[in-house]
Amino acid sequence: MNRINIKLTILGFSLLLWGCEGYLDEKPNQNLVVVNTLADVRSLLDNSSVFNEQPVLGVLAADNYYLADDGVADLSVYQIGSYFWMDDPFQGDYVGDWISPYEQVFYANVALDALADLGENEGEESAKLRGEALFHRAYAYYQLLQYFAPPYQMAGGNDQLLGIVLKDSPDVNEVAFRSNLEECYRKVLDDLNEAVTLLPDFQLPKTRPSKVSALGMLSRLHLTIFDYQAAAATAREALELYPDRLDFREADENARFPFERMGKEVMYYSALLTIAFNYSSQVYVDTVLAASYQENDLRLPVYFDSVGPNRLSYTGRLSGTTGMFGGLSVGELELNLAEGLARTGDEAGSIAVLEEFFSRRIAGDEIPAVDFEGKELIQFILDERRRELIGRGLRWTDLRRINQEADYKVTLEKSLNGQSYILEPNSLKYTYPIPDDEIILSGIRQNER
Amino acid sequence: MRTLRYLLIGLMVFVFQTLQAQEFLQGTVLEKDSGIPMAGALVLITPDVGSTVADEEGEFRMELEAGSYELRISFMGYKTLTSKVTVPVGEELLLELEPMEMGLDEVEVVSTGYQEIPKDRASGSFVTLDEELIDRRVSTNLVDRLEDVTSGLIFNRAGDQTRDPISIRGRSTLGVFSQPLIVIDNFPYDGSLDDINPNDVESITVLRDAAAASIWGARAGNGVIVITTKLGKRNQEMKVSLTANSNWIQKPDPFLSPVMGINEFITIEEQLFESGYYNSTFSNPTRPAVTPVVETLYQEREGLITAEEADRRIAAYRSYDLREDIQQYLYRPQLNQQYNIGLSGGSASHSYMISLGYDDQRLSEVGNSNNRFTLNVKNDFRLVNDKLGVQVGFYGAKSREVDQNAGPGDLSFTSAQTMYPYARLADENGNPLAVTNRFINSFKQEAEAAGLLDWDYVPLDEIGLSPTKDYLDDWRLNLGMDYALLKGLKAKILYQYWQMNSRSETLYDQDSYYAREEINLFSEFDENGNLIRNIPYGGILQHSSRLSNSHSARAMVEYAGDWGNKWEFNSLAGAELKMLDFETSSQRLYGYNAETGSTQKVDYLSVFPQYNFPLIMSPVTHADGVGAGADRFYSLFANASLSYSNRYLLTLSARKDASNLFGVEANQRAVPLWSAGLGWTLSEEDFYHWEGMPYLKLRVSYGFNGNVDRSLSAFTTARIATRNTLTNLPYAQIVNPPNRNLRWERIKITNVGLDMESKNGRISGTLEFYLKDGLDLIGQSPYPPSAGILTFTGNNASMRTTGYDLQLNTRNLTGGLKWNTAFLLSGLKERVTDYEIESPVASILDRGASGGGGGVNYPVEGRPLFSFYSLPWAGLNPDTGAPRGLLDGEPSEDYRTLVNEASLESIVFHGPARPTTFGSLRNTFSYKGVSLSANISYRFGYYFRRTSVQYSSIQMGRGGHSDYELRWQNPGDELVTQIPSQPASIDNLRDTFYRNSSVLVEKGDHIRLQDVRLGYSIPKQGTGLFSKMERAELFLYANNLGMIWKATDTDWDPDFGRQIPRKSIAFGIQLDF
Repeated sequence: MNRINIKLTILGFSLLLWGCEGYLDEKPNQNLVVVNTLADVRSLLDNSSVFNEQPVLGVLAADNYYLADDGVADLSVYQIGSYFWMDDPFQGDYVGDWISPYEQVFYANVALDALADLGENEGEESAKLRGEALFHRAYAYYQLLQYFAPPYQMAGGNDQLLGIVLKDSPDVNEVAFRSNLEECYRKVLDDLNEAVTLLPDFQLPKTRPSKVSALGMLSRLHLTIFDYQAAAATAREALELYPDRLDFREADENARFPFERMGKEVMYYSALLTIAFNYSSQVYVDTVLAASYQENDLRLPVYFDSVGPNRLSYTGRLSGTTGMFGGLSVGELELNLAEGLARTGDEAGSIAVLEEFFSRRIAGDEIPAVDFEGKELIQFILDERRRELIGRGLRWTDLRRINQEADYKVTLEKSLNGQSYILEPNSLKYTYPIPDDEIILSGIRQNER
Repeated sequence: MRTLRYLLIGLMVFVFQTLQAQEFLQGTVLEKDSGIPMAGALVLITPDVGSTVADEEGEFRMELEAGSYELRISFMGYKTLTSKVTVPVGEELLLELEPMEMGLDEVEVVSTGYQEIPKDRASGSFVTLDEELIDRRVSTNLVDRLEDVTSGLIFNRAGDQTRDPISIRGRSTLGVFSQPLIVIDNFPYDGSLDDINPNDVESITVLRDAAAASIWGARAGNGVIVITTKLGKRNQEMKVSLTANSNWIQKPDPFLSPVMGINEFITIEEQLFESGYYNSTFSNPTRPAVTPVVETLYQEREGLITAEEADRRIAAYRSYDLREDIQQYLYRPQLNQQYNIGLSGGSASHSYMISLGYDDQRLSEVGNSNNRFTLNVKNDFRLVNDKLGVQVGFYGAKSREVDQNAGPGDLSFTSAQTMYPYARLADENGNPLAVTNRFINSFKQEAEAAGLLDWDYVPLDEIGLSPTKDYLDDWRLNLGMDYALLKGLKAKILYQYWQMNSRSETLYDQDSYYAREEINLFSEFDENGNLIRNIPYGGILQHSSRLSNSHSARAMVEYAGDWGNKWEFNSLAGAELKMLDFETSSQRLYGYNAETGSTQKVDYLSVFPQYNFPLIMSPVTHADGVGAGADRFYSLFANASLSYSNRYLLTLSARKDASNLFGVEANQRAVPLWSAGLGWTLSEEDFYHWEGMPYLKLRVSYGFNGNVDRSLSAFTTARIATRNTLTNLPYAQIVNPPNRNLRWERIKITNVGLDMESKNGRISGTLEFYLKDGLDLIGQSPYPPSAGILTFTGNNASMRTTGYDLQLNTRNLTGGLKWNTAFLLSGLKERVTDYEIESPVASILDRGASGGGGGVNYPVEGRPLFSFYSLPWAGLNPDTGAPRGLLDGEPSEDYRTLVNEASLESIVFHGPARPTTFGSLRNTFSYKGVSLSANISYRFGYYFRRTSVQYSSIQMGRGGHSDYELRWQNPGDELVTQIPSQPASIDNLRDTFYRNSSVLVEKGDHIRLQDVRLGYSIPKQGTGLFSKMERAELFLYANNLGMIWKATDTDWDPDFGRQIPRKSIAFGIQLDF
């Protein structure tokens, strides 16, 4: 009996062992992949409807547009509340501005996790993919920081302010908490710095980030945290690596979309979330801004359609579609460089950059001379940023930054049916509340407002 | 009748033999009636003597001291015989064992798919159907035969019923995998139950609680149905059995659909035309069709025909009725025929069964048919002195379904509208006629004139032009071996290979409307006026196939023993593996020429102008694809039972599962599914003296079953999409975030049961109460967006079901006229106890009772999963006939607020959508060879919703509900009707309010006469042709006989709406030689 029992035991154990070795690793469905190869990660990072999208709050909240009274009816609660800086702007409405970047963070973390599991031996491709994932995560964090965390303080004390939720793993059950603002910006900086070392100089399609995009993003970040020197240095490096320049004379002002999608001007492609405000016929360019363009400015006809007296509608989106462009462009980096130089004492260098910038934007043979210095030059550059970068959400970030300087600060005013809404510089309303769902479900701290 | 022969244990003959000093007990064990020796029968002698086994002649011999003894003779598959003897006995003892063929409503052995347990030794909840009960109903499908004869099992008519057609003790899960596990001949079955020939089935056991089903572990959560196919008997001459029957089923009746009358339909069309409603249709550049009435009115307006001609045509249209043509030309009565021949028998060491079945269904749509061949071969060998058993079985089915007439479902007018009700399929002489569809006639004529293919749609000519043929080959091979290692110890190995190939093929002939239209739409003219066909002329062939196969293997050891003569121990333990793989592929070919088998290439990448509206550019439909998948299961299981003195019983069962669907952590975590049960046969107790009730047993069980949702994985999975519109690159979409905690759903079941049988078996029955808790059910819960997802599908919901099942059999008359009654009563109450996402009220109202399909349900905490909710109804406005709801307790016609601001608190909860009390009452009368049996079924405690008129459809000229004729038209009508008046203009919210209002919810309670069966058994003949005939039975069976009582006053059938089930009558014959 013992011998038989032993045999049976062996039989039993051999079945058991068979069970353990690979038997249970079979894929339940061929059309699904468990993300564990470089090709899977490549496909994941090529999901442009997840990655190449970004918040649109900056367009709603800033002062580049005005909404005609009749336009209110077409807009959702979230859009109206955000546009007028209301106390409770979202009222439980869907807020893609919070959701979409965190989806990007999740995808990036899945990619980083899979790459880590694959190990170091996968060579260049693996390094590049890691660079892309780090870039995407940093890009998403940066976007979130512009709307849901207080402005980075020129005066310091940023480690005393609440930032956003940082996620280092794809584990959806990880407890969420808000890191301090300093840590958050440091994280973005570190990720981008690492991405610069991993990414190829340039790659196509432009939905994939490259070293140029990482440097460009670093420039944007450095400007936001008042490191003008680094902002200028990284912008210069990016512009040197990226040789294409668009002469606005090439843009067809009569075409429905004057700019080619992902054309020369675009260094990295990302579009703003689509909301009714973006294509409402009741939304017009701020009249002061509209009036500030020179008559022979080529951007006037290619950016705008005149739909009535004092009514310019913004159509010339660099995205080349009805969506609004929010990625990195040559023009943005040139202005970053110019501002960085001007702020660090190299006014001549700054003016040279600006003149080259205008050479591609002003009609006629003569490039107007830039004849400013000191604060006037800086103010000029800030105004030029507004003119060049309209429709990208960047004005909001600029306002949060320049309001900290007495010389440049701005009070915003909007009106509806005769009632006016004011946003004072450095108001708490420069930070949007975190959507209710997040507060209820993860219990993180809400922003003061 | 056969079963009546086994009502009581037969006579026993005691023959005495005198012996000297050292006494011997000597006897022979034979099968009753046949007198075949029962080699291997166990003879247990009490008190305290021991046991012996009968030899090949069925004889046994034992040395004994003189005295009184009790003998217990047992043999698998036979009733245990107990007899008192006094030693010395005079002559040799002759002991006859009666085969344990199940008597009517009397079941002795239950099968779990792992083992057969005498019912005495079971503590769980089992329901067994014997061959006679299975054969009572006539159907080609096995599952249908369970209805209304299986306690606790119900056929669902509401609430996700297409995915969840039958429930055992209610629903146990929220998700997609809600069907019971089907086990055939020891292994879970992955094929279609349509492939099982009911004539091959010996018995069906339904496992209802944890003690019964937990041996199936992670797959037992929805209950288990164990099917055992027939096997020959040892030591039996060849037996031939023949079965044949024909079942005639009524033609479907198109007049049952509640649609508005033709006159009203045409009147509305005239009004709409008058108001200019169709002007935009006539100028629509996509050239949509208009109905003949509208076209006539248009021609009249344009002066193309005279007013008299128009009136004449419209008067003619008013006299046509499409339903008459459907009835005459598309339908016929259905005829199902079933033939089966079986051979079985066996020698001392071998038994066999061979059966061949053929089923033929002439379906009710003209031209459609379905047939199936089945072959079942089973061989059992007992070798090496009965120690070694070898089993070899083959089961194969081959079926073919031909569908070349989609019935009225194919008769669409446009993609948004069904065929106009005055369409004619044929003229007075039966010649097929064209009907208007898709595009306006003038457009079709222009296209034909320009050289495109004939664009006419002649429905009757279409029959047979686009046949869909489904072929299915399904077979399995079973091998088994068992060996008695030692007394009581047995090792068993079982293996099954299963394969199923299914192929579906649709050929749209080049003359079929479908192919002609596809080709025409993709036609264009180049600048020189030459016709270019971007889809080549020819047929369109579309086929898809699925190949599946599985290997299942099981190794186990069984041990049975007794200690002293009071303790009895039975156990088994083992391991099981299952590997299932499948591959799918599909293809669509253009320009198909059936004669040469050739096809032509098409350009899938470009987009082409559509002929009806060249501004629309479409690619040619591409439907090629492949897929594959695999299931891997691996399980360990054990169970044991211990009984003392036939009185007390303890059972234990445990199983641990692992599968490739789950992550490492879930597979390794030691959470086995287990159960324990206790049984107490009160009637065996010394203190028990109730003679009227000689058998009384109490059972209690507790334990866990599992369930699995295959759409989830513990790993991060992503779906690769082929092309991103922005970049043209392939990209991946995450479908499943990592879920390392994913685990089996668990169903905790507590069951208490009472089995009883009165003296002489006049009354016998079972009463059970149960409490079922679905734990860790897969549901959705909201997640903080910072996690990267908004909802998470995981183990986060729970449900609770309480209920009872009563099964009562009585023998009311036992004389020449016999009258037996079987009564089934089940009740259950279920509710979702935990669900984190609050569903939108609009979804709860619209879909709370039916689910959203695809496993999407709208549960509400504290309520049954499928429930009816409605908006409170405040009657019709007496002045306008507008429907009114309640807003803050006041009647209101503010439909926007009524609909959009309804909350869970403001809506009415009626109750469950599925019956909460149900069962059947079956009476069987027999006199001599004639038997008459009628089954009455009943369902109580649930609700259904009537459909009614939706004016938006009527006001768009698309027809509508027959309630239209009963609508409020004049003040005062509100006293006799609750059907709202027609609004001045389309008001979708008013329609939504009325559709969801409480006035349309009705109580579903009803009783119906399900079926009647009349049988006649020809008495056994002593001589002549039929002398060898064991049994000959003729029967008539009528099904779906009608409603006896229902709670609703309307003419709605609570379960089938207006499509009341078709009556059928079958005639059959069963011969056994």
